[in-house]
Amino acid sequence: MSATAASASGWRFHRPTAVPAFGTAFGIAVAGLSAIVLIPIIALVLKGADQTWASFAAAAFSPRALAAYRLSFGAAFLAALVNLVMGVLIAWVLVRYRFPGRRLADALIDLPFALPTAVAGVALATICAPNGSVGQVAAAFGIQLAFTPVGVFIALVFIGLPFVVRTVQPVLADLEPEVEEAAALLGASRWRTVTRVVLPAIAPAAMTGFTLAFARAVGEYGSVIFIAGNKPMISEIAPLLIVVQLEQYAYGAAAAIACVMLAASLVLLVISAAMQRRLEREGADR
Amino acid sequence: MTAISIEHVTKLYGGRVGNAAAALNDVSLAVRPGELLALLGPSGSGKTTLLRAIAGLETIESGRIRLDGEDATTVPARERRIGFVFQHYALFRHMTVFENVAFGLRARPRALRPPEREIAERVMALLEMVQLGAFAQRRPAALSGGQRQRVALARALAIEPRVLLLDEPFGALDAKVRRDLRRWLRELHERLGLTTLFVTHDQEEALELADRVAILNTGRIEQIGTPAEVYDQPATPFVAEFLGDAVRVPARPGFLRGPATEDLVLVRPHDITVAEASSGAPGVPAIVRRAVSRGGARLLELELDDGTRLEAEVARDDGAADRLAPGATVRVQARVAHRFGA
Repeated sequence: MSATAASASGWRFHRPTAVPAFGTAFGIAVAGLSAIVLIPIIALVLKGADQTWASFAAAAFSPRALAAYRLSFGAAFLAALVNLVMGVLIAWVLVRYRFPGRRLADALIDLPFALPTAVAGVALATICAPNGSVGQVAAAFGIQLAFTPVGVFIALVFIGLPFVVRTVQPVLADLEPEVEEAAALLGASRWRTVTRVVLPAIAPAAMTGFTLAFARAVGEYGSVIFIAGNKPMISEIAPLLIVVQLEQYAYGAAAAIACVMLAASLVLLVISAAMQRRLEREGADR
Repeated sequence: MTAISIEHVTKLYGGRVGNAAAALNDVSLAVRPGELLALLGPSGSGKTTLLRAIAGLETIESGRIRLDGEDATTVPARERRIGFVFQHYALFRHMTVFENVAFGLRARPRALRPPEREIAERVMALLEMVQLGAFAQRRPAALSGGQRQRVALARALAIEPRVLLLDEPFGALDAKVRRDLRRWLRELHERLGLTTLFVTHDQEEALELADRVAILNTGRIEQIGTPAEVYDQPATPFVAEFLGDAVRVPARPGFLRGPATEDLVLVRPHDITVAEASSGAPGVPAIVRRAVSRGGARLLELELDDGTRLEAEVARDDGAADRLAPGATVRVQARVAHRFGA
């Protein structure tokens, strides 16, 4: 959209282009966006505001709610970080190397997208439980995976991985190998080539993938609740707390918690968008 | 002493013996210091593979590559100190023009790295040389193709390379920019005296720009020599045909000067004399089938009395040219013919 278009004759909402139907397309886009995204959010905010501040704060900032936010956002952040590193690495391998089974591996990446989250949750809970295949190994080292915050983290890593891989992959494929060859011929070591040439080029895409993985992880419910154990104050995520409130018909409390998550997510997404723009603008540092 | 010496280099596609054609087949080539040498050939002839092998971007199965006399066959690309310009520039998109050119200097080990102030001076001097001083803080995306190519050149020169390798340097540019850049590169080469190898599939470019031309075909060097040598005395039929449309003609007495043999004979269109039938000139009779004006020349499609068709090129200021319209009967003779043993 070209709302920033400033022609000689002053500011105009839309600069005329050879491509017609701006009005129609813009109208449908705005109406669709409103119906799909804005109206439910407004309804949520109105519901949250339909109570005294004291009751809002009691629900939204109770110790149990604060613990849930900390777990939801904290585990989501850590999981997205792991996804960032692993995702870039996996995308790199898939783009740059030809090996038997590459197509299969490539198809597997999308599995967390396609799998019903409950199935993923049950599967992860089964292998991570103290008597499960992975859980046994961890238990031998005195670590319990399932029914702890660690379990939440594992589930979020699982569901977030495709986001980073799928955003980085096309950008990496677009980065000609000649660029790396040029760096080598100019005397750069492999390390310098990767850190100064490859990573800066894919940083904006990686940041986008990180943000998507993080956003998905914050809102994730289905896969987490089976593995988390859902102990209040310890392994209870914020979306579950909302469901718990709803089951007790405490709609105001549920809306209050939801409003806090909404505000926090919005702030984080804005920060992430700003960082992404900076990465795109910023050249290589010295 | 040679700047680059390539000795019996063989490279196979897929890296296995007996697996399809060799990309390079026993290639030997000696590049003299300060020379501007063109590697000319059709696509798939191995010219780019050879250039990349010299740079260390391709491994070779056998043979030796020497740079300034030193064996560089197994030296990694990063340590060869070779300036390389890619066809599609391969600039670092997220860096400014300045940072692109400075990259090689900043990548040096700490002990050899010039201080930042000196790097800035050298980068700006290079950018001035390629006439892009004002563009130092731009991103490559904001430049035209010709400008990007000059940035790539400045970047390659920044490391003070022993030799400069250019892979189809003008391939992605339009005709006008190409001609300008060609002339400019020739001048630059004369000023710097740097040994330069460039790959091209455009024979005009190679003949106009290079001191010597090496013609490659299916992984072999067919001939190497000055532009005049390879054009006037082609060593093989391939060279004759690749450099300026030579046509195969039957060895007929009367059409060729000298004895008619069973040899393969190639004649360039501009080496054919076309005279009016009534003039009594030597040669064989032919009919003009088609006539087209192109630049200063007139192209004639001729049919000899035995049905052979061939193309001739005559100067337009030739008074007779206008009368050589389709349907006219003429007498034709080849002034120069390239004969090859059958």
